[in-house]
Amino acid sequence: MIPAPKTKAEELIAEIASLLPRRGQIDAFTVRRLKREIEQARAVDTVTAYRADGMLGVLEWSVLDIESAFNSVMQFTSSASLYVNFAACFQLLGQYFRASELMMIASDLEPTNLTTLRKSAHYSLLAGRFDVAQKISEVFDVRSPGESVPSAEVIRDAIFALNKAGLPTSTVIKCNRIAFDFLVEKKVPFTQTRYKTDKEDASTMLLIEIGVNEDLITLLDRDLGERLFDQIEDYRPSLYWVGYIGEVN
Amino acid sequence: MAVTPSQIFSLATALHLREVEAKDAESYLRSAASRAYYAAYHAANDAVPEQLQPNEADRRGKESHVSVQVALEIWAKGAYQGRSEARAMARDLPKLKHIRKHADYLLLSEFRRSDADVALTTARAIINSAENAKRISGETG
Repeated sequence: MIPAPKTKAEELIAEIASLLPRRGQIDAFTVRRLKREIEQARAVDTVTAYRADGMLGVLEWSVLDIESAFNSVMQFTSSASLYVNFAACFQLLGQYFRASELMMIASDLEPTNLTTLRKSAHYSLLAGRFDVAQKISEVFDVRSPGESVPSAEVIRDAIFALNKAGLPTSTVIKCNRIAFDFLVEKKVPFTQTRYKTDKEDASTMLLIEIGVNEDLITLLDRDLGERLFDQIEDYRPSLYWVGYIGEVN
Repeated sequence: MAVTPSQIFSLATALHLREVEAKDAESYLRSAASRAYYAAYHAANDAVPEQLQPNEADRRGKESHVSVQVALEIWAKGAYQGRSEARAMARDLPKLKHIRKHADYLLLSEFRRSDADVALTTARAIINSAENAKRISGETG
């Protein structure tokens, strides 16, 4: 089968994707050109052009632009793959709550797609929605006997520790949102995330790896601490800790 | 005090440095992280303002580490001198405690040089914050 040639909008998505690792260093001229070319491509391939808008939102660190592109495209069509595409855009900016919402809709539209279900659990976990992640994990077990979502144990441990600590999930959701939003504000990409749970101490940590120098990590983490203490009344870092660390090879 | 947190931290640093030439390098890294935690814990404890200090029973009981952490968290939220330093310590100490528990108890889980590096860096930050907080309260007290 001869592959179909890419449309202009698809080429633009590929170009924007190639620029994502250098987010924050893209000159204004390039962004203007991409916007112009997306507009030109929209008449021919409307849906893909809106997807390109979403990707451009990632490149420009703009959650609002991603949301706007998503709302616009939904006026034309709706499909599981579109929800997956936009969930990925939100995820890249650490908007895990929104990403998990969209991924769950995608999963409902394509219930046999286990990858979508797996990602729903993962995004829910990183949003701090442990109860939702647990439910998705149980659905996964039913749909795919003998296989669990990779984070099933992490989800169980975190729920155990939070219950033991008496910490509401809403606090964790707030903590995670503040931590990821701060990175968007500072235009610092994260590379990895991982939870660590100490069931004995009823303590859970979310470590967010960022690829900047140690001094900047320390500075960002300290500023994050100020925000968490200022914005969350019942913030107790010994029970739930979220923060930044250097990349672990 | 017959030994200071800074002296315990010096031992942690020495253990960390000896790892390079040691055959059982991982034990040195684990011990360095463990000592670093205790240096930081004692420094933080010393810095807690008198009115927030855990009572003697809590301080000597098996929950002594928890009581210091709770004191730091109250300090971090309240209108006390040195609150910014308290906030940094209240966040750094649990992070360091996780590493220390890994170092001392999870013997089958690899403990890497980077883990020890983070432990020492974090402990140093806590000790610095504790000294700053004491200086601030000394200046205003």
